[in-house]
Amino acid sequence: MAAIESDVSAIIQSNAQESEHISTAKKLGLWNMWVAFTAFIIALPMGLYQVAERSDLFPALESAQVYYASISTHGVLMAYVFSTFFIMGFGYHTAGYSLQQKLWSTKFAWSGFIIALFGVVLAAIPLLTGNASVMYTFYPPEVGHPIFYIGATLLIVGSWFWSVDMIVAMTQWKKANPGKVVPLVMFGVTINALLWLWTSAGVAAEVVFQIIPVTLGLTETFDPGLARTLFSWTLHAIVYFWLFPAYIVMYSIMPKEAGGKLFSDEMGRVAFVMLFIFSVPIGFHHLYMDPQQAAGWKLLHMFGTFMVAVPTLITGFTILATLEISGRLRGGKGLLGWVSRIKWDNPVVLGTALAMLMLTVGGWGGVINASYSMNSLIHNTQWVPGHFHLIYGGTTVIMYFAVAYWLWPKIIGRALYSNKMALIQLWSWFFGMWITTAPWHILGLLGQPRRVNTLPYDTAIAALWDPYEMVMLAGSLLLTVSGFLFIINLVMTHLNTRKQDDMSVTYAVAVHQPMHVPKLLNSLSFWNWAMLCYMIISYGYPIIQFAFIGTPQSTPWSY
Amino acid sequence: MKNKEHEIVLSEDEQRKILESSPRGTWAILAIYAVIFTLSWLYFWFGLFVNHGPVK
Repeated sequence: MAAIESDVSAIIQSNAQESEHISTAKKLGLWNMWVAFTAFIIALPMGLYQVAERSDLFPALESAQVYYASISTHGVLMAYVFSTFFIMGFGYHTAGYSLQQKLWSTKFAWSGFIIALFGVVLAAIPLLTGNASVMYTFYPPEVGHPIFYIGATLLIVGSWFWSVDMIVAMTQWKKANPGKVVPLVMFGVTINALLWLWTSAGVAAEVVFQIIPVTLGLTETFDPGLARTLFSWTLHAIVYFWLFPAYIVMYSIMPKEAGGKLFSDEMGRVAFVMLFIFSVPIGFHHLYMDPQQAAGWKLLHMFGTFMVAVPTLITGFTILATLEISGRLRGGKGLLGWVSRIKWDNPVVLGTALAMLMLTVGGWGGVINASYSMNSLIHNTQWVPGHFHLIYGGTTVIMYFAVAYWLWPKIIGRALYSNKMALIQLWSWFFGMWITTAPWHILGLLGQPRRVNTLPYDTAIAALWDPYEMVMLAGSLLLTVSGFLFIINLVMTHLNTRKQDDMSVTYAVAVHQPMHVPKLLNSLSFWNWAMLCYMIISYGYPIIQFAFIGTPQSTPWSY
Repeated sequence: MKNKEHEIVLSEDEQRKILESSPRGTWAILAIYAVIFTLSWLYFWFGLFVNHGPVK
């Protein structure tokens, strides 16, 4: 009798613990994601305004001051706030559900959230008042108000709390479950957390040692060459930090939603590890035209950049094969007959397919950017923002939408307001992104420069650009409408009286679900050391050289 | 891509065959993509970059 009572007590205690960690995962997930999507919807109409202003077709909108304040706010909100908070929310939710254990410190997690949010509010003040119109790239000699940089630094520091939380969660789980395979979804989240620590170190060093001392008047000058080198450390890898959750969802959530199985769990792990190792030490393809780095280093980074294509190709193959399995399990026959049998009415499945379609072209554009000599065709032209909007705004953000449609009902317990609206929204975002970015790429090839609000050049040449700008305007309008549809659907879901039937959160199973995987695909320590070695090789000398090359009238490390 | 409700019941054998067979449709799509990718890159190299010549 005592034993039964003890068992019941243990079960009650276990359920209470489960409720607590699930409740924490839901709260952290929801709060972080709402901050993310609020930033998104504030920044979205700014994009439409910028396209309209730059087109020179609306004289009433002409204002360089407003344009640069707007583009800086749009960039910071979309690239740093939206992405970072979404990734943190997704990570906390994933840690709670996939590991089924408590976070090691809920207070620590909320502290990180509050610090990051406080940083965003702080940075917003100079941004919105036009005192930090330096765009989002932190490139000196442009400098904004110190509060902007202090706020941005706090955002990064807050996100480091999340990174630590994820790494500790996986470590604790491994200790409690010796010999077991870390769930693929959490392996991906944790390796992305580690990637973020590595990635953000470059810009953190730039801001703390170079920009903030100058903006506070502690030093008089800095070295733009060093600042650009440090920012290149962050600038490309950050794209993979944003993209990582999209890949994680494709591997670990989409297969189940599609009614099938993941083609290979191990290929997912290999892709994650490769993405981690190859994405950080390759930033010099952003500096191909910069004089402060030698051609040999740029060539080394070029080869490194091409290597990033490998995990992307692995992912393309695995995800397409997974979709094929699901289509065939639903009766698809022949070479391509399975395509029509895929569950296109599921937002996660549709989002995955649309994301992959944008990734194929965006990835190809990335190879052009990375090719050392061909980069001169498109360097600092409109091709570049066209490219990163297709990859980030297209591939990545459409998966963020898909995740939200999947997660929201499971977090708040109310059914999604409208699945049909969700599908229309995903399609309209997809077409809006193509209509915006295709002419954007072409404008770059026609020589239109980026980062300028007005184009008072040769009238005949500028006239050639007009039709493309008109098309871009239509695309931007469609994107804006689509973005608002997304937010309306989420808000209406909160107001929905219909309860969500299926509250379970489960992850995909592979065709051959591994009971054991090689240690290197179940642990991060080796890859962390490998990253250190690779970073020393590719960034060691290029950074140290600033200590002795003596750039005239500059202070490299604020000494 | 119009979705229909497919309530097709496959036998265990049929399911196993699907799960263990090579994804030939995927290979076909990737082969087409590889050809388009290569041709586009070559067009950029020879058609746009090399053909452009030095900046005047």
